[in-house]
Amino acid sequence: MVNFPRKGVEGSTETMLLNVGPQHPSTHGVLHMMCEISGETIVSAKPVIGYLHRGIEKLAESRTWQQDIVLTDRLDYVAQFSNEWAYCRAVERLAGIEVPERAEWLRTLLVEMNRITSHLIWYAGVTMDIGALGTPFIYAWVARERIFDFYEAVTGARVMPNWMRLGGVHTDIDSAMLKEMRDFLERDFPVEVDEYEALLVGNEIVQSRMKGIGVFSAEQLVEWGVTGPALRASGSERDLRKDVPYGVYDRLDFRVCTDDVGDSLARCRVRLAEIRESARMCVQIIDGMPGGDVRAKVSRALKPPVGDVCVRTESPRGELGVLVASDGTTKPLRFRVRSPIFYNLSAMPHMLPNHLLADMLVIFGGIDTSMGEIDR
Amino acid sequence: MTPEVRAVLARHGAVLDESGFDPRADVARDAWRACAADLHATGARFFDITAIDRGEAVELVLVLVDTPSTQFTLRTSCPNESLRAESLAGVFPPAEWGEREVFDLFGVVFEGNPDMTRILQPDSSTIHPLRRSFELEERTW
Repeated sequence: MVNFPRKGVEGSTETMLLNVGPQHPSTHGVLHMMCEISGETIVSAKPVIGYLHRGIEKLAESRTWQQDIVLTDRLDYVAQFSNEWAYCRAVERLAGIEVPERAEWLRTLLVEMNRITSHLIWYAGVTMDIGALGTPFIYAWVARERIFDFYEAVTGARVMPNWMRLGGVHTDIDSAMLKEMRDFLERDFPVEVDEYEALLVGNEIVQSRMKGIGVFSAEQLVEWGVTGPALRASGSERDLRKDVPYGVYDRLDFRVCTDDVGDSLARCRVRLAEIRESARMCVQIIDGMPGGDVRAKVSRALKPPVGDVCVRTESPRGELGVLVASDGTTKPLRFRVRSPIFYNLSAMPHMLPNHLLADMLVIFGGIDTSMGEIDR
Repeated sequence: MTPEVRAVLARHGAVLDESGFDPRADVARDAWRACAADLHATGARFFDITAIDRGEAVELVLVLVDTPSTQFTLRTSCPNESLRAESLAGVFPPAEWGEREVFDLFGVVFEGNPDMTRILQPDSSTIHPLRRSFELEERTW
């Protein structure tokens, strides 16, 4: 039995318990949200998770350091490259592996493209949730499929790339492919984003559903542990790509996309701005790409020195942390994923009360969940 | 690491080690919650709470961010015969879920956590799988 004591409302009739999920079209995976409602208003809420728990952190302990990269794809399955990079960075730091310059550029390129496709999934999902069945969803798939074609050409897989390696990347990208990517991202893609933006924030129904709904201040969100675009929409400038630059972010000209309104519509605007900004960054990366090796020599029987390290990266959903601990053997002692959405979701009981039940999905869409990383 | 954080750690008798990648501070289990509360007052931001199995004990690791670009860990050790610690949920709200996960996967009980139940595994589970003593079975298919 889930521990969910009802709060009740003074001077009102008995409250009702409504279970949303775990099998519900709007929950983006198997999330179970328990809502105590009084009429149409949420009194208290509790997310129940774990339906997708596969024990990835435990599995990682029985494989070698290299073999664990394939597991990271399965964490946040719409931001695969971000996960791979976070893990590789942590192990490389622990073992003192130098990554060749070109590999860093290639990694940054694919991770920024990944940020675009991840935000497109959010776009498709959030519009579906508020009733725009079909059109924006399929529109988002147009650009997403084009980028997935690039993933497939580079890594051999559309969804589970397993492309990064300790000390670099698995395959290089040739100049013809880079030119194709550049043409798409500079010429065709901004036109499509204009369309997406018009369909979402330019839409009257969307505005009336989202404007002024779920307004939170940056101080509140920081206290609740929320990170990423959801926090930046409340005016915070926190972005690890600027705060703790990694990869080649210190050599790129980009801005942190923020908004000072802090409502659900602001969270949409921030993500759409990030899509544009990422496309701009990809073009810069392709233009500045140096030559050279893409993979350092790393022993298959890698034994990082005893110790542990926690590395923070900015995934499309917020601050993704990977803590790896080594006991000096070929297998990790501990592989911990600090999932941004796990903690973003833990803020739901603070965020939802006093909102209408119908607004739950709007607020919920604002933190952009992906169950694979929450349940691990 | 900011001077305020240093002062708090010194006040709670933490053993500071800055030779690793990020500074780490080990405190006694009695000082765990009080030290975290004082660190919260310096403006340190919660990043993560987790644990590492050290065989004889479970090491609790609280990752905090003191300035936007720096982080450090606060640690304490729970010996196997007494797997309990004071909850930080009243200090850092997101720690409530983080502690539930440590309880679920390592078996450390956090006193004062408002909802000390399993989070990833079903309630009927009787195991704490991230302990090193819990061995995975060979795949049979």
